[in-house]
Amino acid sequence: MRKLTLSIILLLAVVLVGCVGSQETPTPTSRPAPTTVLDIPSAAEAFSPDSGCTVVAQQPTPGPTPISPFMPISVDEWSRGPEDARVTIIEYSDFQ
Amino acid sequence: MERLLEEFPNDLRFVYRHYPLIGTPEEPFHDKAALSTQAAEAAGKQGMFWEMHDVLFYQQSEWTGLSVVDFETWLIGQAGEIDLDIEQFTEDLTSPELTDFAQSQWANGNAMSLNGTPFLVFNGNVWPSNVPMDYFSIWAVINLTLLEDRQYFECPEMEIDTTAQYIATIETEKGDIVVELYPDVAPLAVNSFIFLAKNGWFDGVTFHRVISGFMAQAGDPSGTGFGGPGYAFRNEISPDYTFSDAGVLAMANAGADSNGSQFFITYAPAPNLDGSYTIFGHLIEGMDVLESLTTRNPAENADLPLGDLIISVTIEQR
Repeated sequence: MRKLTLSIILLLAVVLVGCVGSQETPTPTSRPAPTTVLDIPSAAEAFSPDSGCTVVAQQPTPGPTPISPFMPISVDEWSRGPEDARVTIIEYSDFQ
Repeated sequence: MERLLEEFPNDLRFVYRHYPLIGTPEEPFHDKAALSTQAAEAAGKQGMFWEMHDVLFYQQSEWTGLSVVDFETWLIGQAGEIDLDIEQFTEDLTSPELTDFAQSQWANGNAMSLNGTPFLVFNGNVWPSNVPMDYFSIWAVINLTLLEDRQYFECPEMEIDTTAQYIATIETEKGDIVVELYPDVAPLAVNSFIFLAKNGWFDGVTFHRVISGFMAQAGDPSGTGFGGPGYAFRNEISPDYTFSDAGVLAMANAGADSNGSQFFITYAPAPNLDGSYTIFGHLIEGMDVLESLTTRNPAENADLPLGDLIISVTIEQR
Protein backbone atom coordinates (compact mmCIF):
# COMPACT_ATOMS: atom_id res chain seq x y z
CA MET A 1 0.00 0.00 0.00
CA ARG A 2 2.90 2.33 0.76
CA LYS A 3 4.35 1.64 -2.63
CA LEU A 4 1.05 2.42 -4.28
CA THR A 5 0.65 5.79 -2.63
CA LEU A 6 4.18 6.74 -3.45
CA SER A 7 3.62 5.96 -7.08
CA ILE A 8 0.55 8.18 -7.06
CA ILE A 9 2.49 11.03 -5.53
CA LEU A 10 5.27 10.64 -8.03
CA LEU A 11 2.88 10.46 -10.93
CA LEU A 12 1.01 13.45 -9.63
CA ALA A 13 4.34 15.19 -9.64
CA VAL A 14 4.76 14.31 -13.27
CA VAL A 15 1.31 15.56 -14.12
CA LEU A 16 1.70 18.76 -12.14
CA VAL A 17 5.01 19.41 -13.77
CA GLY A 18 3.36 18.62 -17.05
CA CYS A 19 0.68 21.20 -16.34
CA VAL A 20 3.23 23.87 -15.71
CA GLY A 21 4.94 23.03 -18.93
CA SER A 22 1.79 23.08 -20.96
CA GLN A 23 0.81 26.48 -19.66
CA GLU A 24 3.55 27.96 -21.74
CA THR A 25 1.40 27.45 -24.78
CA PRO A 26 -1.96 28.93 -23.96
CA THR A 27 -4.59 26.81 -25.56
CA PRO A 28 -7.75 28.07 -27.10
CA THR A 29 -7.81 24.47 -28.27
CA SER A 30 -7.33 23.02 -24.82
CA ARG A 31 -7.90 19.33 -24.57
CA PRO A 32 -9.90 17.23 -22.17
CA ALA A 33 -6.64 15.79 -21.07
CA PRO A 34 -5.64 15.13 -17.50
CA THR A 35 -7.12 11.90 -16.38
CA THR A 36 -5.50 8.97 -14.71
CA VAL A 37 -2.23 9.35 -12.96
CA LEU A 38 -1.83 5.65 -12.82
CA ASP A 39 0.88 4.15 -14.85
CA ILE A 40 -0.57 3.20 -18.21
CA PRO A 41 1.51 0.51 -19.85
CA SER A 42 2.31 1.55 -23.36
CA ALA A 43 3.31 -1.95 -24.42
CA ALA A 44 0.67 -3.42 -26.66
CA GLU A 45 0.92 -6.82 -24.99
CA ALA A 46 -0.40 -5.38 -21.73
CA PHE A 47 -3.81 -5.09 -23.33
CA SER A 48 -5.80 -8.26 -23.47
CA PRO A 49 -6.60 -9.02 -27.10
CA ASP A 50 -10.09 -10.05 -26.03
CA SER A 51 -11.00 -7.06 -23.95
CA GLY A 52 -8.75 -4.29 -25.28
CA CYS A 53 -8.34 -3.42 -21.64
CA THR A 54 -5.62 -3.59 -19.03
CA VAL A 55 -5.56 -3.25 -15.27
CA VAL A 56 -3.56 -0.28 -14.05
CA ALA A 57 -4.42 -0.23 -10.35
CA GLN A 58 -1.80 -1.98 -8.26
CA GLN A 59 -2.92 -4.61 -5.82
CA PRO A 60 -1.30 -4.35 -2.43
CA THR A 61 1.15 -7.23 -2.47
CA PRO A 62 1.19 -9.69 0.40
CA GLY A 63 4.42 -10.09 2.26
CA PRO A 64 6.64 -7.84 4.28
CA THR A 65 6.47 -4.15 3.60
CA PRO A 66 9.67 -2.16 3.72
CA ILE A 67 10.41 -0.81 7.15
CA SER A 68 9.72 2.89 7.38
CA PRO A 69 12.62 4.96 8.66
CA PHE A 70 10.08 7.05 10.55
CA MET A 71 9.15 6.13 14.08
CA PRO A 72 5.73 4.57 14.49
CA ILE A 73 3.23 6.93 16.00
CA SER A 74 2.89 6.52 19.74
CA VAL A 75 -0.14 7.34 21.85
CA ASP A 76 1.47 10.28 23.58
CA GLU A 77 2.28 12.19 20.40
CA TRP A 78 0.47 15.32 19.30
CA SER A 79 -2.02 14.26 16.73
CA ARG A 80 -5.39 15.29 15.35
CA GLY A 81 -7.91 13.19 13.48
CA PRO A 82 -8.92 9.57 14.02
CA GLU A 83 -6.29 6.92 14.72
CA ASP A 84 -7.73 4.64 12.06
CA ALA A 85 -7.71 7.31 9.34
CA ARG A 86 -6.91 6.09 5.85
CA VAL A 87 -4.29 8.82 5.46
CA THR A 88 -1.73 9.82 8.06
CA ILE A 89 0.49 12.83 7.54
CA ILE A 90 3.42 13.35 9.87
CA GLU A 91 4.87 16.83 9.79
CA TYR A 92 8.35 17.51 11.11
CA SER A 93 8.47 21.21 11.62
CA ASP A 94 10.02 24.20 13.24
CA PHE A 95 7.77 27.03 14.40
CA GLN A 96 10.33 29.65 13.49
CA MET B 1 -3.69 21.57 7.39
CA GLU B 2 -6.56 22.99 9.40
CA ARG B 3 -8.69 23.12 6.28
CA LEU B 4 -7.71 19.58 5.25
CA LEU B 5 -8.59 18.21 8.68
CA GLU B 6 -11.98 19.84 8.38
CA GLU B 7 -12.47 18.46 4.92
CA PHE B 8 -11.49 14.88 5.82
CA PRO B 9 -12.76 14.43 9.38
CA ASN B 10 -12.75 10.64 9.12
CA ASP B 11 -9.91 9.96 6.73
CA LEU B 12 -7.04 12.19 7.79
CA ARG B 13 -4.79 12.01 10.81
CA PHE B 14 -2.17 14.66 11.34
CA VAL B 15 0.82 14.15 13.62
CA TYR B 16 3.13 16.99 14.62
CA ARG B 17 6.77 16.27 15.37
CA HIS B 18 9.32 18.90 16.28
CA TYR B 19 12.38 19.54 14.23
CA PRO B 20 13.61 22.83 15.67
CA LEU B 21 16.45 24.10 13.52
CA ILE B 22 18.59 25.13 16.45
CA GLY B 23 22.03 24.86 14.93
CA THR B 24 25.15 24.60 17.06
CA PRO B 25 26.52 26.99 19.69
CA GLU B 26 29.16 28.01 17.16
CA GLU B 27 26.69 28.33 14.31
CA PRO B 28 23.22 28.97 15.65
CA PHE B 29 20.50 28.81 13.03
CA HIS B 30 17.00 29.71 14.21
CA ASP B 31 17.53 31.50 17.49
CA LYS B 32 13.96 31.00 18.74
CA ALA B 33 13.43 27.48 17.43
CA ALA B 34 14.18 25.83 20.77
CA LEU B 35 12.08 28.21 22.83
CA SER B 36 9.08 27.91 20.53
CA THR B 37 9.29 24.12 20.76
CA GLN B 38 9.47 24.38 24.53
CA ALA B 39 6.48 26.74 24.55
CA ALA B 40 4.30 24.27 22.66
CA GLU B 41 5.36 21.46 24.96
CA ALA B 42 4.88 23.57 28.07
CA ALA B 43 1.35 24.35 26.89
CA GLY B 44 0.97 20.65 26.11
CA LYS B 45 1.63 19.83 29.74
CA GLN B 46 -1.59 21.73 30.46
CA GLY B 47 -3.42 20.02 27.60
CA MET B 48 -3.14 22.98 25.25
CA PHE B 49 -0.47 21.97 22.76
CA TRP B 50 -2.61 22.72 19.71
CA GLU B 51 -3.71 26.08 21.01
CA MET B 52 -0.08 27.14 21.42
CA HIS B 53 0.80 25.51 18.11
CA ASP B 54 -1.76 27.74 16.43
CA VAL B 55 -0.59 30.85 18.26
CA LEU B 56 2.99 30.22 17.14
CA PHE B 57 2.01 29.25 13.63
CA TYR B 58 -0.52 31.94 12.80
CA GLN B 59 1.20 34.80 14.60
CA GLN B 60 4.68 33.98 13.45
CA SER B 61 5.21 37.39 11.91
CA GLU B 62 4.63 38.99 15.30
CA TRP B 63 7.41 37.15 17.07
CA THR B 64 9.92 36.09 14.49
CA GLY B 65 11.82 39.39 14.68
CA LEU B 66 11.96 39.53 18.48
CA SER B 67 15.04 38.88 20.57
CA VAL B 68 15.02 35.64 22.53
CA VAL B 69 14.39 37.53 25.76
CA ASP B 70 11.48 39.50 24.28
CA PHE B 71 10.11 36.33 22.73
CA GLU B 72 9.98 34.69 26.14
CA THR B 73 7.99 37.64 27.46
CA TRP B 74 5.72 37.50 24.42
CA LEU B 75 5.13 33.77 24.97
CA ILE B 76 4.16 34.29 28.58
CA GLY B 77 1.72 36.97 27.46
CA GLN B 78 0.20 34.61 24.92
CA ALA B 79 -0.03 31.88 27.55
CA GLY B 80 -2.23 34.24 29.51
CA GLU B 81 -4.36 34.93 26.45
CA ILE B 82 -5.18 31.25 26.04
CA ASP B 83 -5.81 30.85 29.76
CA LEU B 84 -2.86 28.72 30.68
CA ASP B 85 -1.65 28.62 34.26
CA ILE B 86 1.02 31.27 33.72
CA GLU B 87 3.18 30.43 36.68
CA GLN B 88 3.33 26.78 35.70
CA PHE B 89 3.90 27.65 32.04
CA THR B 90 6.77 30.01 32.90
CA GLU B 91 8.41 27.33 35.01
CA ASP B 92 8.04 24.63 32.38
CA LEU B 93 9.06 26.85 29.47
CA THR B 94 12.75 26.85 30.36
CA SER B 95 12.87 23.72 32.49
CA PRO B 96 15.83 21.40 31.92
CA GLU B 97 13.37 18.74 30.80
CA LEU B 98 11.99 20.79 27.92
CA THR B 99 15.31 22.41 27.06
CA ASP B 100 16.81 18.96 26.69
CA PHE B 101 13.75 17.82 24.80
CA ALA B 102 14.14 20.57 22.18
CA GLN B 103 17.80 19.68 21.71
CA SER B 104 16.95 16.01 21.37
CA GLN B 105 14.36 16.75 18.67
CA TRP B 106 16.92 18.76 16.73
CA ALA B 107 19.38 15.87 17.06
CA ASN B 108 16.71 13.33 16.02
CA GLY B 109 15.86 15.23 12.87
CA ASN B 110 19.51 15.48 11.98
CA ALA B 111 20.01 11.78 12.59
CA MET B 112 17.19 11.09 10.14
CA SER B 113 18.75 13.49 7.63
CA LEU B 114 15.56 15.51 7.29
CA ASN B 115 16.28 17.99 4.57
CA GLY B 116 14.50 21.00 6.05
CA THR B 117 11.13 22.03 7.40
CA PRO B 118 8.32 21.48 7.03
CA PHE B 119 9.04 17.88 6.17
CA LEU B 120 5.99 15.74 5.39
CA VAL B 121 5.60 11.99 5.59
CA PHE B 122 2.48 10.84 3.77
CA ASN B 123 1.37 7.33 4.76
CA GLY B 124 4.97 6.43 5.46
CA ASN B 125 6.44 8.04 2.36
CA VAL B 126 8.48 11.18 2.16
CA TRP B 127 6.59 13.88 0.28
CA PRO B 128 8.51 14.33 -2.97
CA SER B 129 10.47 17.51 -3.26
CA ASN B 130 9.06 18.27 -6.71
CA VAL B 131 5.42 18.34 -5.56
CA PRO B 132 4.27 21.55 -3.88
CA MET B 133 3.22 21.21 -0.25
CA ASP B 134 0.20 23.39 -0.86
CA TYR B 135 -3.40 22.76 0.02
CA PHE B 136 -4.42 21.66 -3.48
CA SER B 137 -1.62 19.12 -3.93
CA ILE B 138 -2.16 17.51 -0.55
CA TRP B 139 -5.93 17.56 -1.10
CA ALA B 140 -5.48 15.84 -4.48
CA VAL B 141 -3.18 13.12 -3.15
CA ILE B 142 -5.53 12.41 -0.24
CA ASN B 143 -8.46 12.09 -2.64
CA LEU B 144 -6.50 9.83 -4.94
CA THR B 145 -5.47 7.66 -2.00
CA LEU B 146 -9.11 7.34 -0.94
CA LEU B 147 -10.06 6.50 -4.52
CA GLU B 148 -7.71 3.49 -4.42
CA ASP B 149 -10.27 1.75 -2.22
CA ARG B 150 -12.86 1.97 -4.97
CA GLN B 151 -10.73 0.97 -7.94
CA TYR B 152 -11.18 -2.26 -9.85
CA PHE B 153 -8.47 -4.85 -10.26
CA GLU B 154 -10.17 -6.41 -13.28
CA CYS B 155 -11.45 -5.06 -16.54
CA PRO B 156 -15.23 -5.19 -16.83
CA GLU B 157 -16.65 -8.21 -18.61
CA MET B 158 -18.01 -7.43 -22.05
CA GLU B 159 -21.72 -7.58 -21.33
CA ILE B 160 -23.37 -5.19 -23.73
CA ASP B 161 -25.29 -6.09 -26.85
CA THR B 162 -23.57 -4.15 -29.62
CA THR B 163 -26.74 -4.17 -31.68
CA ALA B 164 -28.96 -2.73 -28.97
CA GLN B 165 -29.83 0.90 -28.37
CA TYR B 166 -28.67 2.28 -25.03
CA ILE B 167 -29.87 5.52 -23.51
CA ALA B 168 -28.09 6.91 -20.45
CA THR B 169 -29.65 9.51 -18.19
CA ILE B 170 -27.09 11.51 -16.28
CA GLU B 171 -29.07 12.96 -13.42
CA THR B 172 -27.30 16.04 -12.10
CA GLU B 173 -27.99 18.67 -9.48
CA LYS B 174 -29.03 20.93 -12.33
CA GLY B 175 -31.31 18.46 -14.10
CA ASP B 176 -31.06 15.51 -16.48
CA ILE B 177 -28.66 15.13 -19.37
CA VAL B 178 -29.74 12.32 -21.67
CA VAL B 179 -27.31 10.69 -24.07
CA GLU B 180 -27.54 7.93 -26.60
CA LEU B 181 -24.58 5.57 -26.58
CA TYR B 182 -22.85 3.98 -29.60
CA PRO B 183 -22.28 0.32 -28.63
CA ASP B 184 -21.43 -0.65 -32.18
CA VAL B 185 -18.84 2.10 -32.70
CA ALA B 186 -17.17 2.08 -29.28
CA PRO B 187 -18.05 -1.16 -27.49
CA LEU B 188 -15.23 -0.86 -24.94
CA ALA B 189 -16.19 2.65 -23.94
CA VAL B 190 -19.91 1.91 -23.82
CA ASN B 191 -19.42 -1.33 -21.92
CA SER B 192 -17.20 0.39 -19.36
CA PHE B 193 -19.56 3.36 -19.01
CA ILE B 194 -22.53 1.07 -18.42
CA PHE B 195 -20.53 -1.10 -16.01
CA LEU B 196 -19.47 1.94 -14.00
CA ALA B 197 -22.95 3.46 -14.06
CA LYS B 198 -24.52 0.26 -12.77
CA ASN B 199 -21.94 0.03 -10.00
CA GLY B 200 -22.63 3.56 -8.82
CA TRP B 201 -19.20 4.84 -9.80
CA PHE B 202 -20.58 8.14 -11.04
CA ASP B 203 -22.85 8.81 -8.07
CA GLY B 204 -21.77 12.00 -6.35
CA VAL B 205 -19.09 12.73 -8.93
CA THR B 206 -18.40 16.36 -9.81
CA PHE B 207 -18.26 17.93 -13.23
CA HIS B 208 -14.74 18.93 -12.25
CA ARG B 209 -13.71 20.63 -15.47
CA VAL B 210 -16.25 22.76 -17.30
CA ILE B 211 -14.97 25.20 -19.88
CA SER B 212 -17.60 27.24 -21.66
CA GLY B 213 -17.52 27.03 -25.42
CA PHE B 214 -15.48 23.81 -25.17
CA MET B 215 -16.69 20.92 -23.03
CA ALA B 216 -17.84 19.65 -19.62
CA GLN B 217 -15.83 16.81 -18.08
CA ALA B 218 -16.67 14.41 -15.26
CA GLY B 219 -16.23 10.79 -14.20
CA ASP B 220 -13.46 11.03 -11.60
CA PRO B 221 -14.73 10.35 -8.06
CA SER B 222 -11.58 11.88 -6.60
CA GLY B 223 -12.62 15.19 -8.15
CA THR B 224 -9.01 15.93 -8.95
CA GLY B 225 -9.02 15.12 -12.65
CA PHE B 226 -6.26 12.58 -12.07
CA GLY B 227 -8.38 9.61 -11.02
CA GLY B 228 -9.57 6.55 -12.88
CA PRO B 229 -11.31 3.21 -12.30
CA GLY B 230 -8.16 1.09 -12.02
CA TYR B 231 -8.21 -0.13 -15.61
CA ALA B 232 -7.53 1.43 -18.98
CA PHE B 233 -8.87 0.51 -22.39
CA ARG B 234 -7.98 1.24 -25.95
CA ASN B 235 -9.13 4.13 -28.09
CA GLU B 236 -11.93 3.33 -30.50
CA ILE B 237 -11.77 5.86 -33.28
CA SER B 238 -14.19 5.79 -36.19
CA PRO B 239 -13.78 8.16 -39.12
CA ASP B 240 -17.55 8.38 -39.33
CA TYR B 241 -17.81 10.12 -35.97
CA THR B 242 -16.13 13.46 -35.43
CA PHE B 243 -16.30 16.43 -33.11
CA SER B 244 -18.22 18.41 -35.67
CA ASP B 245 -21.00 19.50 -33.37
CA ALA B 246 -22.02 20.31 -29.83
CA GLY B 247 -23.27 17.45 -27.67
CA VAL B 248 -20.64 14.88 -28.59
CA LEU B 249 -19.99 12.40 -25.76
CA ALA B 250 -16.40 11.14 -25.65
CA MET B 251 -13.82 9.63 -23.33
CA ALA B 252 -11.18 11.89 -21.78
CA ASN B 253 -7.72 10.39 -21.79
CA ALA B 254 -4.12 10.93 -20.78
CA GLY B 255 -2.76 9.84 -24.13
CA ALA B 256 -3.77 7.10 -26.51
CA ASP B 257 -5.34 3.97 -25.03
CA SER B 258 -5.57 5.37 -21.51
CA ASN B 259 -9.35 5.59 -21.32
CA GLY B 260 -10.77 5.05 -17.85
CA SER B 261 -13.88 6.61 -16.37
CA GLN B 262 -13.58 10.28 -17.28
CA PHE B 263 -15.81 11.48 -20.08
CA PHE B 264 -16.81 14.80 -21.56
CA ILE B 265 -19.60 16.36 -23.61
CA THR B 266 -18.82 19.16 -26.04
CA TYR B 267 -20.41 22.61 -26.11
CA ALA B 268 -19.29 23.34 -29.65
CA PRO B 269 -17.50 21.72 -32.58
CA ALA B 270 -13.94 20.76 -31.59
CA PRO B 271 -12.24 19.39 -34.69
CA ASN B 272 -8.85 19.54 -32.96
CA LEU B 273 -9.98 16.54 -30.91
CA ASP B 274 -10.75 14.38 -33.94
CA GLY B 275 -8.83 11.12 -34.02
CA SER B 276 -7.49 11.33 -30.48
CA TYR B 277 -10.57 10.76 -28.37
CA THR B 278 -13.10 7.93 -28.40
CA ILE B 279 -16.55 9.21 -29.30
CA PHE B 280 -19.13 6.91 -27.76
CA GLY B 281 -22.41 8.78 -27.82
CA HIS B 282 -24.24 12.05 -28.25
CA LEU B 283 -26.56 14.21 -26.27
CA ILE B 284 -30.24 13.89 -27.09
CA GLU B 285 -31.74 15.95 -24.28
CA GLY B 286 -30.59 18.48 -21.70
CA MET B 287 -28.30 20.87 -23.55
CA ASP B 288 -29.74 23.58 -21.29
CA VAL B 289 -28.66 21.55 -18.27
CA LEU B 290 -25.20 21.06 -19.73
CA GLU B 291 -24.94 24.78 -20.42
CA SER B 292 -25.95 25.59 -16.85
CA LEU B 293 -23.12 23.61 -15.25
CA THR B 294 -20.78 25.68 -13.11
CA THR B 295 -17.68 26.56 -15.09
CA ARG B 296 -14.38 25.68 -13.48
CA ASN B 297 -10.93 24.99 -14.79
CA PRO B 298 -8.66 23.09 -12.40
CA ALA B 299 -5.62 24.08 -14.49
CA GLU B 300 -6.05 27.64 -13.31
CA ASN B 301 -5.14 26.48 -9.82
CA ALA B 302 -7.22 29.20 -8.24
CA ASP B 303 -9.83 28.67 -5.57
CA LEU B 304 -12.47 27.01 -7.68
CA PRO B 305 -16.21 27.16 -7.13
CA LEU B 306 -17.71 23.81 -6.17
CA GLY B 307 -18.68 21.86 -9.25
CA ASP B 308 -22.10 20.42 -9.94
CA LEU B 309 -22.63 16.83 -8.92
CA ILE B 310 -23.93 13.84 -10.81
CA ILE B 311 -26.58 12.23 -8.66
CA SER B 312 -26.67 9.01 -10.64
CA VAL B 313 -26.41 7.59 -14.14
CA THR B 314 -29.13 5.20 -15.22
CA ILE B 315 -29.09 3.06 -18.34
CA GLU B 316 -32.04 2.06 -20.43
CA GLN B 317 -31.72 -0.62 -23.10
CA ARG B 318 -34.15 -0.43 -25.97
